[in-house]
Amino acid sequence: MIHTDVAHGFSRTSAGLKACATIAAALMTAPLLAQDGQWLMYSGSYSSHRFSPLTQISTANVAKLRPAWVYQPPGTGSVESTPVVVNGIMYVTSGPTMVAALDLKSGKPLWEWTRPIGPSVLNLGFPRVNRGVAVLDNMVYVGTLDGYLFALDARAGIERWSVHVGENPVGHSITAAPLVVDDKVIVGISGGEAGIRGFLDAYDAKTGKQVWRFYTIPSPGEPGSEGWPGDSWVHGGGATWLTGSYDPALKLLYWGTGNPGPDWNGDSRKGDNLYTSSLVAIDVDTGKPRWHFQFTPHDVHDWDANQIPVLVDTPVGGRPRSLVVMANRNGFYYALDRKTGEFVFGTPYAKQTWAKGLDERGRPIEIPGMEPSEKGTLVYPSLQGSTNWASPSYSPATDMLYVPVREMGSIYYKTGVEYKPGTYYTGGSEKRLDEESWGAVRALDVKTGKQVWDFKLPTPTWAGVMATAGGLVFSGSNEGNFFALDAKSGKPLWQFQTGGAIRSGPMSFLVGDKQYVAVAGGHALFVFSLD
Amino acid sequence: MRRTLLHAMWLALLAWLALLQAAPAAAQAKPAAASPPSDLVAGRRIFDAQCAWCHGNGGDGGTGPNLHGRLRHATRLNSIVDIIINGIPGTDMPSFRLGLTERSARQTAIYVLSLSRTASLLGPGNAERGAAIYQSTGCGSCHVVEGRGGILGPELTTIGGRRGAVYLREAIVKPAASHPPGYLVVRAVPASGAEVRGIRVNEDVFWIHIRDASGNVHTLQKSELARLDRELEATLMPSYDSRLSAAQLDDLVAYLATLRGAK
Repeated sequence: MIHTDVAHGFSRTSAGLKACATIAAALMTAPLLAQDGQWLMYSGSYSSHRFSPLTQISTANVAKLRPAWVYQPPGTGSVESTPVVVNGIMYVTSGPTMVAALDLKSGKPLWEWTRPIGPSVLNLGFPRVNRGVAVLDNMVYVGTLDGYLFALDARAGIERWSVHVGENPVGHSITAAPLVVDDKVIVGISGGEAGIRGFLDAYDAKTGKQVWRFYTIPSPGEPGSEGWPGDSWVHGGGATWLTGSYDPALKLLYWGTGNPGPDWNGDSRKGDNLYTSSLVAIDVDTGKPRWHFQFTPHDVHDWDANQIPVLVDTPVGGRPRSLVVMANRNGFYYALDRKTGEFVFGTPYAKQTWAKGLDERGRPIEIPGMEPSEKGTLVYPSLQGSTNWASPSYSPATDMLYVPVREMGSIYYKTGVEYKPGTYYTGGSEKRLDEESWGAVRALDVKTGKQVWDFKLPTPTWAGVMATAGGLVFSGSNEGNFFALDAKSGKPLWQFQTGGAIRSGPMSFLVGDKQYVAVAGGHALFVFSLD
Repeated sequence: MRRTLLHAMWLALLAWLALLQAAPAAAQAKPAAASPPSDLVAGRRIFDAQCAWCHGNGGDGGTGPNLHGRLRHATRLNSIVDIIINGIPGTDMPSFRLGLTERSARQTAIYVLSLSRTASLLGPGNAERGAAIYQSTGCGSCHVVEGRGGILGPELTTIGGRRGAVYLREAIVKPAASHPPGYLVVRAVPASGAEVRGIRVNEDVFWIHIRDASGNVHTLQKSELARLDRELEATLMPSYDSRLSAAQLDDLVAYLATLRGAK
């Protein structure tokens, strides 16, 4: 399906950057938002493929890839951002909350905007980072660690409006890149370890006026509330801390939700705890859920389902399907019908010891005794999951999903818990099995979830993945390597040592007729091109 | 059961005594001054589950220091609570802010304080004799103490403040079980050329640096290796179980326990 209406929505911002790359004929039916050489949003496109259709850098020449420029933002925060490239400008963020507009050729900033974030600003359960912006027309939208959404003038970095999204003193923060749909800015919230009641917000892109709010935890009487005894729903968690996906034909947003609160002590919230650790399909106009799928009912391992949902059109069992797929933090890969939410299939893709498998509706068949305990319970995967927020990538050329994988177990502890505003509301902890852990970029056949190849990494990874029409898969490591693999075989073809852990997603863009690849490593942004 | 109860009551009494002794601190910390013995019991349960991993059962020490006798970083209840919640930067002591409520941290601190008021676990050894054994056995050929010694093994200048006697003894007798961070033994077999075995100095996706037993660092490209083994249970340190008498071992452990760095 070609997302023509999406392309149209952004054509207003186009400054005439022409696509010089040739697109393989096989890819013409894929949603190719970036084919004019831009990278319009966090995950590259509404389908969240994080796939670049550019072909100039390919398996044949990637060995000659060299740094073109490096940008070091002010401050000392780590850079976990995926830059966007819109209208000939790159917008990248750094922690705690800083936005820079960069000239594509020289890497020099045209403006830098910093939200003053004092030490009293809370970040309960995540680092003091920002993962990116959304852009529409002449506005750049960024969430702040202290819980605001800002609209900045894209030309000068001057504030046009701001809105208070969540109360930071009780644990709300924004680290995720917002998503722009039509005339709305969709923004999620962090705070699942602080006992917040999670929500997803839509704001009018021009004025900042709230259009709707969807609470991920139903209040008494609403569907799903039967899974929340007493007033446990009030601090039920379900944060929306990573950017979702969107299907313009169905007008549905796909947004992952986080763990229930308290994380590891579920005694006060016996029940399924909807819509935590779920994927929710939300009508973009009304903010109402059309369907939901809960990956981990009554989660007690902090297995947020905030991973990027990837929208894929591919035949399954000989039948064409419109799917939303997710490699989940709980160790299973899921394919759902993205119109109805129907469970199509699911299978483990990493080591897990908590479930025998999934039943015919996709619900886990849990192994007894795997919940956290006072003395500790060894479970795979670890609290951080088999994958986490680092983006996967889907290549329509190979029909593979490339997943950043964390192979690690944890001993999960359960402790007492009490709610106190602005403090952790978790009821436990973990002891990670660091020594025996490792990571990988893992290629899964999107139609079956079966592993095609595995590129091993020394430690569980935090780096996102980008596949390209040049037959490449880019990713990074905690050890600072930024590398390119052959998308078909997983064979390494090129690498560069950035000198800092890569905890960001790669992206690609054109300047004139030249393709660039960018990734943040440590405290800097690195941009590469062929000589 | 009875024994446990008696033990708990004894510890409770100690805790009360400790609080009386620390009257000025207790006066500032109202909840602590009012803590009932049940807090001590609760604190011990939390300690057994979450702290004994490093500090040993009953706080006798392990990969973390033993907690009997005067504590190095905190002597008052509030400062122990602070350490439990925030950790100690620059050491292996992590923050428990995420896992423990303030109340649980305080209960744990009450138990830790009670441990610190018990007699220091002085081993049977003699530290002075142990220092001589350290010299004569050649420990310094691989380990640095206060600037002097070899670099193949971990520096020991502050080892007594970071590791308990139980751990130190085991590290000498059964060094493979000690797993000091940063001293993973690896064996690399190049497709052509001689095998390299030693300490992993650094590793990324494509390269590995190995310090062999002679101290030479080898920089190897992984793509040129036929195999690369991580020997999680191995060590370059020999066991001194049969080389030292029981008394000498006691003395050496006693000496290592005194190594706490500059005061």
